Amino acid sequence: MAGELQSETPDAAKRYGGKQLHVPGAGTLGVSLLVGSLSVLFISSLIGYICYWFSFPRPVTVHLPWGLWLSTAVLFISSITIHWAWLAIRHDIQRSCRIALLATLVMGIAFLCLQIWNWLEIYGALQSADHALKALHPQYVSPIGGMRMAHALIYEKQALFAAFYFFTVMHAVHVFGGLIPLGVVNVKARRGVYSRNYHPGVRYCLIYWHFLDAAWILILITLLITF
Amino acid sequence: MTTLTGNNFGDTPVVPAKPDNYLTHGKTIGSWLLTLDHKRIGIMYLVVGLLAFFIGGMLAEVIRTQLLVPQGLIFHGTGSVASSYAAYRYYNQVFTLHGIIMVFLVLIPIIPGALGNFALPLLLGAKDVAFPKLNLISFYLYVVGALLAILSTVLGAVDTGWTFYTPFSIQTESYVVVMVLGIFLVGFSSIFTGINFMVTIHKLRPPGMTWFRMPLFLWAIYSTSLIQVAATPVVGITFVLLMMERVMGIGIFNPALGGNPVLFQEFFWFYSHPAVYIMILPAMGIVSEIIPVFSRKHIFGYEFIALSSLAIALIGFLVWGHHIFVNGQSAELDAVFSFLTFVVAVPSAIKVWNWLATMYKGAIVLKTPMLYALSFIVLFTIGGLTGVVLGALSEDVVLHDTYFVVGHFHYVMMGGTLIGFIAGLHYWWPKMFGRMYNERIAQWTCVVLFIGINLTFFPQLMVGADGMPRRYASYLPMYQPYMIVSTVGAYIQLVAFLSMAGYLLHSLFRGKKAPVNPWGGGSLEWETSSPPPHDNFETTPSVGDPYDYTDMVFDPVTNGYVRTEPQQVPVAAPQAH
Repeated sequence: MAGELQSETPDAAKRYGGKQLHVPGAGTLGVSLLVGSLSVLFISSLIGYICYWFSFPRPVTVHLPWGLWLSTAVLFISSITIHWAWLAIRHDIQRSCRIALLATLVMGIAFLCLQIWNWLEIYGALQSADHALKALHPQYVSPIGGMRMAHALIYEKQALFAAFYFFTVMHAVHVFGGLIPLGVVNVKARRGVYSRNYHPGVRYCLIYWHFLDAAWILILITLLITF
Repeated sequence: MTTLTGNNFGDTPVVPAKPDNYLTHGKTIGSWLLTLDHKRIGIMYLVVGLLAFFIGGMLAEVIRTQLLVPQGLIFHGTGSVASSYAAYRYYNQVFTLHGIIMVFLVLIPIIPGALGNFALPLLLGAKDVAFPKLNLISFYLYVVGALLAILSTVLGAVDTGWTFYTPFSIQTESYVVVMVLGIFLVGFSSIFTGINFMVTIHKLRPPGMTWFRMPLFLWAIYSTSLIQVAATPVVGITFVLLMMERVMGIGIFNPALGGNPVLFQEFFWFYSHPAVYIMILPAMGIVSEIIPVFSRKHIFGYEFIALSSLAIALIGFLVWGHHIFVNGQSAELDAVFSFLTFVVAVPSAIKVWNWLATMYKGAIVLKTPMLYALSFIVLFTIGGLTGVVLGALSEDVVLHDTYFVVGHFHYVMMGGTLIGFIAGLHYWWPKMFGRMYNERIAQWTCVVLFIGINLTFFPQLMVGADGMPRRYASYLPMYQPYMIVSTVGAYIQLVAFLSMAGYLLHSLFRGKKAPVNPWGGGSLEWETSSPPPHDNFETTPSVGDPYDYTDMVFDPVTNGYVRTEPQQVPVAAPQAH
């Protein structure tokens, strides 16, 4: 029953007032609510960006780095592998689950590396735009290297750079945040903690990873339309 | 519920030991700071929140003292215009800090954090919230956020107003980034608390407690959590963008770089208007608990009060545009937002009518919590109705950015949220600390506070209707009579709050021991001892109708209420064991 608490043994009670609560289904609901909350974050910022883009349309002179397609593919595969891990543990195939979880972790790290490469690519594009500007106006002082991108953006009319960084970095931060619990789940799976009837960690990672995938697809579509 | 302890050596008499409760369960500082017990976390929220309220309140007294004379009593120049501007900047910092501290560190977290944490699992008959560790993390995020806010004040106090409107918040030299980062963390705390409470209400309701047999405070907390989870991320992203704008100049809000400052307002109010309902809904929940208990009568229109909380939460998401009526929004949008603003008044009014209907022909007992609940109804009604006035487009054009707005939201925030919080504090105080406060002094304090609030804020409505702008450090001499009355009211409030602090602290040490059920409440928290034991309940309490007061009589021996026979468990419910 949903409201039932498992009785505790006195020695199991934790030091600082822990009460050994075990609430079935609470974790899944909690993670779902967190994902709902984060979805509001992504969707609202995308809507804000689109409003901004409509009111200030800018000529398109940069192209998205092709590495984005590569990172998209990697993230998509990692979404498949985590699903595979979940299906495997539901059928109690331990080895398969461990491999799939490890693959997801590796894919997640690979995704972050690819994103860093993409950021450098875009930064290079920004820099060459800056050089071109300098050739045109000798008195122009390059803002690149300092923290203030805005001058380059206003001259090149490319607030799009900022949007690109904003969305990809925000997404990468959430991927990074997901890698930590995923690592814990990997370790736990190796220790054989999970079974057919008990695998909450795998389930939470599954929900979160599908969310990361969906959020990325939304971001990519928005970037493709606006660039 | 005294636990008997003794040894097992033959004839030695069993000595009744002092019953263990959550306050005495662990005595080290670590057992408080690292506690996972929802009651202790609630008390810690209470302490930090009241500390923040003290600072914010003192800043309010500074504001009121400044406005005693037209040129300003505290911050004024030496005659030249330049020196006046330099002095008035301090005034800007004072009202900004007052606003930020009161909104983000007091009004939003204090009822869910302090009273919600303490009472929610007790009302459910549960041992704790669903995620006790997350609960502790929420508390420390709140504390770190508050410390960052104070740090920014030391470095260079923010002077933007609590709304951080661009482009001024981008240009000002003060430490906006640190302050905004602090609020960002408090926002995280708010989201985690919301998730925790929602899951707790979903999963920890005892057998027999269906959604429509929950105490109404839980409905209010649930609706609040819904807003916290769904709206707070938006203010998070707003503040991240504001920080990026200040540090890197991305140009999204800054018109000098092609950005749109009104976009900031849309983002900001998409959170901050629902945040108003984060503040008021739990207070309404508290009033819904208190009114039936002190009317000795079943709550009237339970479903309407419960569902109106949800309705306020949902419609509350759709009214943010009324903050932008005069800031360049299209006339069509203005009309839609104006209409929706009127609509959100309906569920609030439903609550007020149901409270009145509950009191009708009830045996009303004017104990302190009830006095505060009645004050809430009066003050919130004034605040709410002036809100409808401001929701009307033509009136808003005239009254926007005047003291009328200041008066309106102080009636709602101070007269609504804060009075609701104080009502709940007095209602649950005996349960929290096991002590009774001096009833007579508390009643008089409530009367003084009620007078003080009205003296402070009613003149602000009048002076606003006369055209005095808000946020000004100086004003035309014609407004001075109103301002003097308002300041006197603020001092009267200060006296009331000092008196409250006095008798509450006194009760902790010298108060009479509280009985299990001092007010005759029917919900589950009144079935455990005062203060409750570490695990909340010795045995799982049986769930009945929380607003059923039949068969409940006053027992002069314990000075509390007892049921003469066990409550009838509703027929459709599965039997609790």
